[in-house]
Order: sequence, then structure tokens, then C-alpha cells
Amino acid sequence: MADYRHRELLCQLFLFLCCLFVSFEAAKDDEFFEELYIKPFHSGHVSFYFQFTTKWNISLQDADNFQHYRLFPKSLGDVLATYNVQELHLTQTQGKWRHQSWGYPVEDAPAGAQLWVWFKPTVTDVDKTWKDLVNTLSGLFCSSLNFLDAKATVAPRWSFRPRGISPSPKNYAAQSTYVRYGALPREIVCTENLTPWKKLLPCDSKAGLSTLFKAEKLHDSYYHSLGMHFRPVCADSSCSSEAVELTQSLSLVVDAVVNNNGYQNWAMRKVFGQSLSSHCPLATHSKIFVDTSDNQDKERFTMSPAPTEEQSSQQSTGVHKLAVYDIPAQVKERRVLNVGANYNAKFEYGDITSPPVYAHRYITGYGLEKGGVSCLIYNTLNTPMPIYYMDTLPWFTRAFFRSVNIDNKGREVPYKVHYVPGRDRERSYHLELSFTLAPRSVTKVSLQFERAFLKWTEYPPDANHGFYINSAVISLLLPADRTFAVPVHNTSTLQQILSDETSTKFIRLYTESLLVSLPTPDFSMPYNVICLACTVVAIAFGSIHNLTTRRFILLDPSKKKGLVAKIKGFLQRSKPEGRKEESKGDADDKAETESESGTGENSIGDGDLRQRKQ
Amino acid sequence: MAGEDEKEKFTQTYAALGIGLVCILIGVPLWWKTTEIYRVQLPYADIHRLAETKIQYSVEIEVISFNSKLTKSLPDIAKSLQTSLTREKRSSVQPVYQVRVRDANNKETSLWKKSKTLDDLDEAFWELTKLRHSKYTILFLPESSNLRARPQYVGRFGNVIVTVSKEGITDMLQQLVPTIQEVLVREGAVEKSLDAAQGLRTQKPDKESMRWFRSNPGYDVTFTLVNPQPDVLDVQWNIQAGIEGYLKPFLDKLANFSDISVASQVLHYVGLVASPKKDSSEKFHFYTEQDLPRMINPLEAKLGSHASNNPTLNFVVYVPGKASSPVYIRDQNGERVASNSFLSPRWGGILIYNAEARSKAAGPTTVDIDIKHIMEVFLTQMRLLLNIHVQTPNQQVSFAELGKEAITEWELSGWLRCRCVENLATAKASLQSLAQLLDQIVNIVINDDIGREVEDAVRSIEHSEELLAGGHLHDAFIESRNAIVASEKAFFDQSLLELLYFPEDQKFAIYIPLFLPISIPVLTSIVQAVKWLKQHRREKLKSQ
Repeated sequence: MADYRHRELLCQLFLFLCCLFVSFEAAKDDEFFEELYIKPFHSGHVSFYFQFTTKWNISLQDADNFQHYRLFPKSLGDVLATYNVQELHLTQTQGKWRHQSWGYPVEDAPAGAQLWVWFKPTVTDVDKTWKDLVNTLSGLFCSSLNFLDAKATVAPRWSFRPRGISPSPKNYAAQSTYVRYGALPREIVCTENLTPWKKLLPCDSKAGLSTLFKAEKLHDSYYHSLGMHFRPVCADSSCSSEAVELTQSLSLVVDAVVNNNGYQNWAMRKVFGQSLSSHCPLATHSKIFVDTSDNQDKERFTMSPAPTEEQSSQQSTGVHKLAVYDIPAQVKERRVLNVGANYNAKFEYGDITSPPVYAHRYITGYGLEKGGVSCLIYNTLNTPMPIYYMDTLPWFTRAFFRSVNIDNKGREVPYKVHYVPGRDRERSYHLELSFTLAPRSVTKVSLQFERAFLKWTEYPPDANHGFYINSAVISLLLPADRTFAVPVHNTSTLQQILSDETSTKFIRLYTESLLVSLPTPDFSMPYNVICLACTVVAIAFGSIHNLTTRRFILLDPSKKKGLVAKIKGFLQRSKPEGRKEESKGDADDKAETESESGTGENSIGDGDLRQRKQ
Repeated sequence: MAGEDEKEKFTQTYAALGIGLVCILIGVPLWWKTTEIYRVQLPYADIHRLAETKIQYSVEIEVISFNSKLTKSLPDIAKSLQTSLTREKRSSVQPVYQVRVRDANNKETSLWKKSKTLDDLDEAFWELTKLRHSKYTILFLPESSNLRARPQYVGRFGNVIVTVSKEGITDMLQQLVPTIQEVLVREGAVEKSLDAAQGLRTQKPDKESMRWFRSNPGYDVTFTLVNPQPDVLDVQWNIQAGIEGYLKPFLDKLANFSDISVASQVLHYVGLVASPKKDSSEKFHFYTEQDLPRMINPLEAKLGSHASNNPTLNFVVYVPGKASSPVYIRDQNGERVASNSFLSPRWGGILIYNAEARSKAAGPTTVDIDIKHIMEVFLTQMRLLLNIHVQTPNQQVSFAELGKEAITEWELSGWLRCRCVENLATAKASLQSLAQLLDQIVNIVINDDIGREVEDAVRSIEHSEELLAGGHLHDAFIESRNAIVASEKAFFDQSLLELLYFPEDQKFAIYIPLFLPISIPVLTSIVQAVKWLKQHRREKLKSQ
């Protein structure tokens, strides 16, 4: 009841807000942007980051708003409205982003699938809603998100805060009640995930940048990641009304040097198999940005064709230069656009400046009983860096809280902790730590676990492959730097992200996901055990039964046997069950045959006797 | 020596019998109990009984005569009407008519005198009686009246107004019977609904019942604007206003009975499967009737909803691109179809909306869709798809205007009647299938939830049938809806799948290594012990 009243109040509040600002609202109801950001790395790789942004000027709090769709995809909107989603972030990734040599991506993602969702404060049973939502999403995106059950889901306390504007109550964002995080490191991303993702774009893959998405080229790369991020944002800079924003991103890293005889040359036709011949007419702007900061005086490479404009901005760490291509202008009159770079000299592998903070995580220990996880976090800055570290271990790697240790040059680092111990077959181990990285140092986070025995039905197919452990998540605020561009709360499009001049930026890093092997049985074992146990029981029972129901008497070996008795003896041997009956048949001869062994002895004794006689 | 032997033999025999007894009395029940599958006892007898009972619905017909000349023959009219309406049906649904014929009283006469048009009269009687859903009034007006219904007029509120003379009364009654049976009561449609629901898996439904959506507690209505060339045409539609203005009164009318949600979307760069043929005059393109069935396939991929289990009614406005515009639909005779739209059974409707694109203009041409036109077409299609529209048996009947609700009172009752019978038949069929399934596969667990749902469904069916027979159509429908929800829930419960794949041969592969070596010695020793005892007794008798 209180909940209902609360919702009503909210509605009224928003109505009031809407009434206030309806007169100022002259902007379009919805807008769409398509953008591509190309960045060559010092490792010889080139990154292509596509971003498609749909902004829809409606308030998220009123579910009735999700009724009449134009640019926003209805199939997704229906799901978001039905399950009262406040914010949703889904990534599907193949490969590992190498922070040490590539720097930071616009959107980092762990290998496999990852989903984190904030639900509206009106949701009463978050766990059930999450369960329904993941089932629906797994149908929508053709991935195994339905395996994100209670065993694979946690409610992060610090690491996953809302990215968009938060609704009332005021402390909504500080509670972990409404957030759920789950990851599937084993999930493989392929064409069947790309197709439904593409279908959400207003121009599908019929026009614009999305025409470049040919699955065989995309999946033939070093790293590729599909992202989908939904969040409520401010409709304008004064934040007088609400809007919702859907960002679909595709990140791709290719090795240009290997493909081009030692030159780091790249071109769209080479990477995607085709050039760009159209732009999406529904897009407010369609742009390509190429990071040319390393090419200040065009001494390293030349761009072809010449960019529409060149932007440069002075930042603390140097000049940030961008070559911008306006697609509609470049493709008009049936021209095609094939953006590329030609390098003057062969690529030379050398030292690469590491990014400010990066991490490396691995499994420790040996044998199948115990093990551990260690994570080395490097800080190359001259300042201490406070971070959040989140690690989730599945229930079958039973972590020991007392073994959690943060070590920096042999000194223990003090930390704040949020720890939810796992429960067998119910909940995973969830550890969040908050501590400070000392300047120019390596900090090691380690913990020990014990490997559990699984029930034989709990093993996946190919159990000897091993079990995956989710990436650890490191969240921190970094001083802005020209080497990376990440979205902040008020930037939607790449254009805004690249020109944003916020002094500190929030970065979330994902470490390697891990593979552990558990004690794995031979799977024919259960049946063998059943058979063996049954046989033992049967033998024990048989002998006890014999002892209690049989009579054993001494035979007289001197007694001669006639022909009839011999035949009987033969028959009894071939038909052991019948022996008692027959023996009772002639009551006089009882002493002669009582049990099979007795009969056998008898005949041997007979033979002996005969031998002796001879 | 012999006595000791005998004694020992006795001990041995009793030991064998004792072990045998322990095995049978403790071992067998223990094994039975531990391997038993939990199955709640379902009301199988009730389910079978329900499947065999006839569904009855009662209809009250009240004839009010304003024609004083007919006063004397009123009992005859009643008798003849009752006999011609009542006929025994083979089908398992049976209408029961109660006919009353009487002269108008003073109040009614004054109402008639006051009414200027037939619609006024219809409404006045509605106000007077506030008819229940299964009661219809037939008004006999004298020829002298200035209000004339030629020959029969069905008002919006389901009052049938007929002008009768004394001579023409028998003809009139003959014409009135099909009107009552097929227009008001919709006997034929009710039977078809029942057949379609019962013969879900066996019979091939006929054309009409294939068009209707199956009865469901809710529907999703989606309006889709398809623009295959957004670079040439910038198509705008004010669908919100259209829904508010034209669809909402209709939906409000159905709100008590069906949960209908409405949404709209715009799709770009989606084409229909085949490109239209060019007319010989080269002025326009066209689709023939043969092209239509395959056309929706490329649309289908983008229309489904992942968040709802209700069937979706899709209404698509397709704006052809510049190259092929204008496009028309031709019928069998090569004539243009006036509405330029077609209906896909149990799916929805498509309307081709030709927009004029300025050929030389830079940038896309803005096109505004005439929302009134498309909503009219779609409302007609929706009436057909939901089985609200009544097929008129003859030309003798004229109808009142539909009004803005797009559904009249009597249409609503006819619809409720069809849907109620269909729901009951579907619920019964589900329960029967479930009973059959559980009977055939003994390994299925039946948990308490399923048992409860089945009992709820049975109770709802019984209650709904009672209400229907009593003429309480509204409540009967609601109850039948509960029945269908409960029966589907029981039928599709996921716990039914749990033990399904546990085959017998594997069970025995596990039992045999234990049971065979134990049971054989136990059984043989029992047999021997019994034999020995018998022999012993015989010997005793002999010796005595």
C-alpha cells in the first residue's frame, strides 16, 4: 500500500515537472547518432569503436511512456518497461582487452557475457524480477543469460553505481538492494548474438555504419565486444526533464601489422571487407573520428581521404588531435568512403607506456584440494590511488575470508571490506574491497579457497575443461588524460565523450577471467558403485541366509553310490536350486546330498576311495 | 537321533519363513515408499464427466406487441416462436429459449409514442429495462405507426423492432427466427467456437473460425508503420491521437472482459517480400491476391514481443517507396480493393498507404498519414479478428449505426457467449489432455500446485456452466476465463517435466544386481519350507 502511494507521489511529481517544462520542450522527441572512433595503438593493433546512441525524451518513471516507439527499439522497450528496469548494461565479448598495451577502451568489458541492472525503486521482489528479466533477455539476445541464476548473481555494494540519473528516494544509488550483477565468462559470442543486436538499430544494417558489420570479418579479430547500455539521462544541459539513452557499441581490435607486411596500415575496406556507401538518414549526425594525436606533424602516417575537419585540444598531458569525417558529406553523389591510414615506415615493436593503473590476475596453488586467487594491481602514477576491488567466486571454490590479504612491498594495506560468504548451491562468494594503491607500486590482493566436490549431475558437459571464475572488477577515479576517453554522466555521443574535459573520470577495469579444475570423477562411477554395492550386499545376504536356513551334515564317504545316485548328482550340479527338493524326494538318502559343496566332496571322496582300492 | 533331526529341520524351516516374512513385510513396503513418485490425486472423474456434459445457455426473448389487433393471437405467436426456436442439437452446446409474448403496458406505449426515431425507441427501452446480456426484447409495431422498421431493425442495444400487420404475422415470425438465432444469439458462431476449441488437434477448422484469434485473457495490439525508404520519405503519424480518438472507446467497452494493451512502432528499411507487379499502363503497381500470403514474412522478424505471452494483433501501415509508388491490391477480378488493405487470419492486417513523393525535392519528403482513414480500416479488421463482427444471414435485417464505440451491446453479448463457450471447451480440453497425459506417463510428479490449479479449473468450469445456464452471461464469462487460466497453468506447469526422462530399462539395470541375488534364495527357501511343512503334516496324519 505504502508502495502504491509512493508511486503515486512520484507520478505526481513528474507530472508537475512535465507541466513545468513542457513549454520549453521544443527539441525532437527522439534522436539517433551513429559514430565510429578509430585509434591506432603502439602495439601495432588498431581499435575500431562503433557507437550508436538513441536518445528518447521521455520520463522513465512512467511505464505508459513506453508505448509509442519511433527510433527506440520496441522489442527492448517492452522488456525494460515490463521488468521496471532503471538501468541496464549488457556486454558480450570475445577476447581480452589488454590494458597494458592498448590503454583504456571507451567501454571495458570482461570476456564472455556480463549483465548488470538497476531496478526501479518500485520493484518489490528484485530477485524474481531479475530472474524473469534474464530469461527474457536470453531470448532477445540469443545468449545463455538464463544461467545467471542466484548462484551466479551478486548485489554489488560499491563497484556498480547507477550511471544515469537516479530516481528518488535520495539514497537509492547508495543501496545495493536494487542492483544485480552477473557474468558468464564461458559464454561464446558469435553471429547469433550480432544479429539480434543489429536488429535493435533503427537503420538495421541497411544503411550507415552498420552496413560494415559482416560477421566473418568481425569475428576474425583480436578482440570484439558487443555492448548495450540503457540509462536515464538529462534531456538537456539544465537537466530540467528526463530522457532515456540507449547506447549500442561494438568494439573491435585488429592486428594491422601482421596483415600488412610489417606496416601498421589500415583501411576500412581491408578490415571490414567493404567501404561505406551510405549514412543512416535517421541519424542526427553520422561521424567517424580518428585519433591522430601520435601523428602531430603527419610524420608517421597520412590519412586518406582527407578528413572533413581536424580538431585538436590542449590537455595537461599533451595535444589531443582528432581527424573527423562527416559521413553524409563524404558519401553524397554516390561516392564511397574508405577511411584508411598509410604509414611511412615499417612498424617497430618497442616499449609501450603503460596506462596509469592496470592489473593481472591468476590462480595460485597446486593439486585439487586447495587453491588461491591473486591479483597484481599496478599503479604507475606518482599519486596514491584509492580503488574498489570486486571479486566474485563461485560457490564451489569456497573462499576463506581470513585468507584475504592485500600486500604492498611486504606491507599489509589497510582496507574496508564488504564480504558476502557463499552458500553451497545457493550463492557465490562476493568480496568487495576498498583500499589505496601506493604511488608507483604493485599491490597484490590474494585469497585462498578450497575446491568443493560437486554432485555428479552438477558437472557441465566436458567437465575436464575446467570451471571459469568471473573477472575481478577494479573501479577507480582517474585524473583525465589524453590517452583515454570514457563516457561520463552527461556525455552521450562519442563526439561529446571525445571532447569532454572533466578533470577526473571514472574507469572500470576487468581483469582476466580464470579457469580452475575441480576434482572430476569418472562419470560411469555411479553405476559401478551401485553394482558393486549391490553385489557386496547380495553376497553378505546370501551367506547369512545360507547359514540361517541350511543344515550342514557330515557325509559318509564309504557309502557306495548306485547309478541312480550318480545321475542325480549330475543333475543337481546343473540345477542347483532344485537340489533341496530332490534331496527331500528321497528321504532315505538325505545324508548323501545336502549342499552343492557336499556333493562335490562326496564325489571326490568316492574317487579317492576307488583309487585307494586299486 | 531322528527327533533331533526333526527338530533341527523345524528350526530351519521357521528361519527361512521368518526371513521371507521380514523381506516381504518390511523390505517391499520400504522399497515402495522410497521409490514412490509424488502424485496428488486429481479429480479424474469430474474431468471426464465435464467433458461429456452438454453446455447449455439460456436466452430470454420478450415480445412486446404495440399492435392491438394481435392481442388475441399472442399465445399462438408465443407457441409458434418457441417451437421454431427450439430444436435439438447434435452438438454439445444447447441453447434454451424462454419466450414470453405480451401486450405493451401503458408506460411502454407512452415511450413508443414519444419516440421520434427507431433509435430513440431502442434507447428508451434500454433505459427502461437495462437488459441483462442474455435477454432480448422484440417490439411489434403496428403498421399505423409513423415509425417503420422495414422489415426488421436491430437497434444498438439489441432491441429488435418489427412492423407487423395481422396478415403478415406468420411470414414475419419465420423471418424473425434466423435473426434471433444467428444475429442476436449467434448459435452458429457459438457452435463453431466450440468445435474449434474441442477439435484443436484433430479437426481442420473452417475459414471463419480460422480468422478469429483464439480466446485469450489478453491481447497485445501493435500498430506498425513501415517505411522502406526513410531517405526519400519522412513519414509522420500521430498514432497516439488515433488510438485515443478511435480505439479507446472500443477498448473501454471490452476492458472488463479482456486485457488489451496497445503499442506502436515505426520500422525503417523493412520491405515486403515480393516487389509489386507493374500495371500495363505503367502508372501504378499492384499486388494480386496470390502475392499476399507471403508478404508478412520479412516483417515478422521485427514484430514479436519478448515480454508478453499474449497473442499479438499486428496492424501494419506500409508506405511504398518512391520506385514502386503507388501500389494497389487487386482482387480476383482484377478490380482494385477499395480499402487497399488486407487481413491475415490470426495475425492482423496490412494497409498499403500510397504517399506522393516529390521527385525533385532535396532531402526526404514529409508525409503525414491520415490517421482517421487507417483507424477505420483497422477497427473493421479488429472486429473481424476478434470475432465481434456478425455475419448477416439474410437481407431482411437493417442495423443501427455502430457509433463511436464500434461495438454494440448485442454484439458484445454475442461475443461474450461465443468466448465463454470457447473458454469452457478449451479449459475442458486442456484438463482432459492433462488427465490423459498423466494417465499414460506414470513417472510424472504431480505436485500440490497442479492439484490445486486443476481443482480450481474444475470448480470454475462447473460454476461458469451453472451461470451460463442461468443466463448470467457476464459472470459466466469471467468465471470461464478463470477456468482457462487455471487449466493452462496446470497444463504448462514446468514441474511436469521433471521425471519424464527416467526410462524403465535404466531403473531395472539398477534394481537387478540387488534384487535378483537376494530374492532367488529367499523365494526358493520359502517354497521348500512350505513344501516340507506340508509333507510333515501329511506324514503326521499318516502316522496317526
